[in-house]
Amino acid sequence: MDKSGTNTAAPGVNPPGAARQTKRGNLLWTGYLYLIPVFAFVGGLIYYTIYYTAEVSLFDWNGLTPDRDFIGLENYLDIARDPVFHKILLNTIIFAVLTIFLQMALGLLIAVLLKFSVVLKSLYKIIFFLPVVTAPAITAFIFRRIYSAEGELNQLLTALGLGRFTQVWLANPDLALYSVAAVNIWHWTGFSFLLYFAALTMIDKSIYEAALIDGANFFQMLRHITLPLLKPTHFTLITLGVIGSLKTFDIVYLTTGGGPGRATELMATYIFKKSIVEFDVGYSAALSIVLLLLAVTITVVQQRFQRT
Amino acid sequence: MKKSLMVCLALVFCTAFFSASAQTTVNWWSWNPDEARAQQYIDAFEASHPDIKIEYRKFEYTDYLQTLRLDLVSGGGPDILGLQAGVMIGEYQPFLEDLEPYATEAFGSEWKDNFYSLGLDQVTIDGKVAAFPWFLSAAGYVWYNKTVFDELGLSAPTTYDEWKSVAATLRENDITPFVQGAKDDWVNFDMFIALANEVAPGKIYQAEAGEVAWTDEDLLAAMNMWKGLFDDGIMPADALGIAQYPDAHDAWVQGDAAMIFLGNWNNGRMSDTVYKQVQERLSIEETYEYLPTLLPDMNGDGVQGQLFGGPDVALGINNQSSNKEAAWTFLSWMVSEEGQTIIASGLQFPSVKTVALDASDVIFPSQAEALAAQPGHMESSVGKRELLYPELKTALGDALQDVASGSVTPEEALESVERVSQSVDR
Repeated sequence: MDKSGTNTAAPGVNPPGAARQTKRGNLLWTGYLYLIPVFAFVGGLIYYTIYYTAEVSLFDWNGLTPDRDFIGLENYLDIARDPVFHKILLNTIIFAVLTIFLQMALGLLIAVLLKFSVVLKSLYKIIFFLPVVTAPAITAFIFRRIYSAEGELNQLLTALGLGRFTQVWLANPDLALYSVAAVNIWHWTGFSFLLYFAALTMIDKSIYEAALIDGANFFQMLRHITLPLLKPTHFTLITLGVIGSLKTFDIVYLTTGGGPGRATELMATYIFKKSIVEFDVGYSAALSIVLLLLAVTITVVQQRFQRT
Repeated sequence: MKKSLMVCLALVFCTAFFSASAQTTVNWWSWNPDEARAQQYIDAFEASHPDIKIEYRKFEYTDYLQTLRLDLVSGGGPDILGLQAGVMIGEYQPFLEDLEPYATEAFGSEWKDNFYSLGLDQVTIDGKVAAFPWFLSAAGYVWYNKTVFDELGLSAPTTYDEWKSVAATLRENDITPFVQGAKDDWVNFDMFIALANEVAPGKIYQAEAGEVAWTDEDLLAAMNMWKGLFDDGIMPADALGIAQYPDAHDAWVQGDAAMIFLGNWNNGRMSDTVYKQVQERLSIEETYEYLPTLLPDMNGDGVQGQLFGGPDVALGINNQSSNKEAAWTFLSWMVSEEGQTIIASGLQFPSVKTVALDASDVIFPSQAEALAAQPGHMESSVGKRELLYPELKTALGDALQDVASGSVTPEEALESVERVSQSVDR
């Protein structure tokens, strides 16, 4: 095409622009082809299973027989009336609040301390992160021993002259949830530390230098510089923590099995028991959908907060 | 010469190919036994059945339930599957071949007489023999460490007062008297069923069937006894925070605790071969004399407790299997004298009456005597271990833990079980 807009190409010959368009069109389609595996993976493995779980939740089904009794929303109504569900919802909230904020606080504290010049800094980093990569089965076994009546925790308390505070930490229904939460905090604080430490390295040193010149002390810098600039990390940890709490299974299952009674039962252990132990697959599918809705709702609310 | 060699090689190849292809592979899945133990059976079977190859796959129990469910629903699964009596066999029985016609044809119409009814009854569902009990186990024994008892001049308790007295002496000597992993529901069920059968034999099964309320005074008496075990210091204070395996069991085997409530599946602790393995695993230097005794007389009627049990592992044939004949050949061999002799040699209780426990490997003479008493205890056992309704099991499990922790009274606990019982679709 010339400047006047007249097409000067000879008849029967594709203009250069058309060739580019065809090429771009081909490239575009090729691009879509590359996306197919991802769509197949996400659609097939994630969205289809969610759809299937939602479908199963409308049936009274043991997961085995070919016949399934359609009961509509009955499983969801049963969940609303289920006293065990109310108990585990409360357990989950307590567990989430405790573990998320304590893990964050401890992780931040360790990260801030390790930003200073400390001897054997690399060794400390490894030590603090080590629990994260410890197998939950091992962690649970060790803590069952530590928490036992004759275990190391009670021995330590006795040695410190605090024998009157010895407890059966996992066997007491009033303490068991907090004891399990402590195991979770020990297990995951290293992860919070890692994220905070990485985020701290991204903060421009000149901001602290300017604050120092203005006479700010450590706590003022922490409150007015560090904490606000770590806001994205706080939200990331809260989001991951909430989802993690809703999904927590291994530590609870292996330390207390959800007991005594239902004292430490959480969503994931309850879903497992309903499905595997009680063969109530329809009900456990409905519980899984409730879990999903809770996770999505909380995440959306958090993201809105993050934007404001 | 070269041509002859080629022909010979071709013949060898063809023979090998066809003999390999003529061999039928039978897949056997279970959570029990472990691979080493399974191999003993497989080697013995394959030696006499060269046309059948057994492939065994062992799972952890909960993984097994999940895998089996997915495979059976999608038309797959193993040819032979390990099963547990009670809930599991009840749920999976639509996928199981009825073994009655096979057994009648192979063993004759009187074949059932050869099996302990304790085992066979629990795998027969609405007249269908859904599986064969492979070996039996019964709960109801208090296992005690006689070496520790002898050092302190104690003898096995036969009444509840004696039990409390023995416990007090052990405690004074810094030995945990009795250990139970009450974190695990199954061991709590065992104890409660034993207590209920001590008060009113069989009534708990009537309650399970909905014929008697769970708030019945006999079951309440049993629940009060359960509470008493905690209040009277028999149970360790941290029982609810420990598992029966490995925590409680290992504490008992190591001599840290003197008694534990288990069944005759624990017989292996009296076997020299098995005990050496345990000693090595747990670094135990002393050779302790472990013995079983029946639950002490809890209600003062002068009679100690009775055993109750059924198939420890049952074996069934997948009705979707394309190798049913070969699977049947293996299954029938497993309950044959040859297969059951291997069971008995490991001090597991055979499911057929013609094979007795083999006491040749026990460590102490007293243990041979204990083994000799077991068939009589099994014959007079009072009922089963595995309850049929999962929601009822869950409710009872919660109730027992709640009573143990003092969260609810025995009356409140049984009322909650009764509420669930009334909603069970029987």
